[in-house]
Amino acid sequence: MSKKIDIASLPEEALQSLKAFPEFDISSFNDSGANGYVMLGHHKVLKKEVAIKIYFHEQDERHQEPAILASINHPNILKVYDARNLSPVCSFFLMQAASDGDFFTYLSKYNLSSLYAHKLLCELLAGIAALHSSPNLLIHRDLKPENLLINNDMTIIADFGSVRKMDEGTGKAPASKHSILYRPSEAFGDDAYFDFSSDVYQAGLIGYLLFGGEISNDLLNYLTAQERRKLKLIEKEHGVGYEASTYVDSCIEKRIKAGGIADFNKLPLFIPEAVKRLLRKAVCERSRRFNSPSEFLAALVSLRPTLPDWVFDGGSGSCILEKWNGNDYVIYEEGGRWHTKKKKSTGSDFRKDSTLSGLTLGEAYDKLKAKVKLP
Amino acid sequence: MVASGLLLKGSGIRIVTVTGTKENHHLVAERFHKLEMQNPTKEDVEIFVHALKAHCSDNGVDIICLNKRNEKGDRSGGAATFRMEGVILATSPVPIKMVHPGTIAATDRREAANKSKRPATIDLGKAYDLAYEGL
Repeated sequence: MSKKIDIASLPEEALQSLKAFPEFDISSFNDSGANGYVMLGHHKVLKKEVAIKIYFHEQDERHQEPAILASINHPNILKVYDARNLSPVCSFFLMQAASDGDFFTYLSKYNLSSLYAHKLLCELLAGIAALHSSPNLLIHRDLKPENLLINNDMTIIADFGSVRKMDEGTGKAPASKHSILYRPSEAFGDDAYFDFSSDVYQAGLIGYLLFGGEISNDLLNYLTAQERRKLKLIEKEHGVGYEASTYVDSCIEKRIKAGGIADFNKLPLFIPEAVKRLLRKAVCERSRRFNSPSEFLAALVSLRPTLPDWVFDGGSGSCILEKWNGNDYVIYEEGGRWHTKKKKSTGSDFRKDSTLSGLTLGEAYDKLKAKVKLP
Repeated sequence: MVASGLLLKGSGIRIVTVTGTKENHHLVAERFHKLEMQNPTKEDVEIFVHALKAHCSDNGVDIICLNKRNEKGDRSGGAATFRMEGVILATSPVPIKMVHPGTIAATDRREAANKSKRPATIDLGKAYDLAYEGL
């Protein structure tokens, strides 16, 4: 959790890093990471917001993450400014701060418009392409909302702790055991592996979230009723431990191999079928998937000119479409019915269109879709 | 050598990428064959550039070949191709070679036998001719 700072209460390693960086004015401290801490603050010399990531490691281990970050200069990949050892088992590095935090927090706070979601996804793919490019040949292997940041409305790929270099002979890297929900089908089993397309799979899942989908981090939500009953029996016999968690993992694996964890029917009704098709192609089984980020990007670029810029307003429960052929539309509920109002994009007053009402949101949307020829 | 031929036409680009030599080459990244940019906003241009750069880095493209446009009259093109040419010239991560239609015609007379991998569709065929000049 992020919280206001009582410096005296910080862990010893954080205090040591602050001593090493007297130019750093700490503003917040985050201890939610599995293997360290992150401090945010202002760098008085660089005159910008920065973050210090403190992490624990094996004695004299190679420092993969800061070394990777320093070797790649790309606007969608986190920048590192400095890296130092605090002790043989603890180090820290100074890096770019993100103005809006990680995707996970951002998506829980805001509903994104379709064009903005599309832009963030394209930027993610651009960053992945930079990782994959020669001579880097890096596979991230752990792309998930918690590891992606938003800085000034731009996607930044972060957390390179799981990155591996692709074997040039096989085109593969060992599978990561992190974040089971985001692992593609090829990352399970005895011959488990990751390749460039596995990062595309994870980008596809991120795209699904950006366009309004949901992936619960509670693994039990993905179990069928029958699987839950069997889990109860396992827990009764062995307790809540290794056997139970292995069984849950096997259920998730089965689900991913059978078609994945993204339910495209749950995307907002205004997301065009063409977007769903692309996302499905990104998260399908290996042989039918986009091979590279550029293939996925090319398909997304073709889609953009005809993509309506919808956003769901969670506060009022209405759906807003901006700048569609020069008009703005709002579908909203009033008196138990759904209505549509519209205005010129350059105008200020909405007027209700009585021909576009319905008993449900879907009915009102279908009428609008037919009238203004939405994809 | 990996060469991408980009045929600017209308509001889109047809793309063919080849690797190898003039005598012995094959097509790569065949699914990356089309990009569009209609009435672009700043973000549209940025996304277009992301796609082009990602294509170059994913496939190790060494050179981009564009169809050379006349300054006026025939083959001077429209506003959209002019805009796309400017964007590509300003942002390409690899060298760019402008190829005149006369050069392609001359190559066809001399080296038609080498062009066995030419796609059947007209525009992709023209993009292939451009890429071939980069080998």
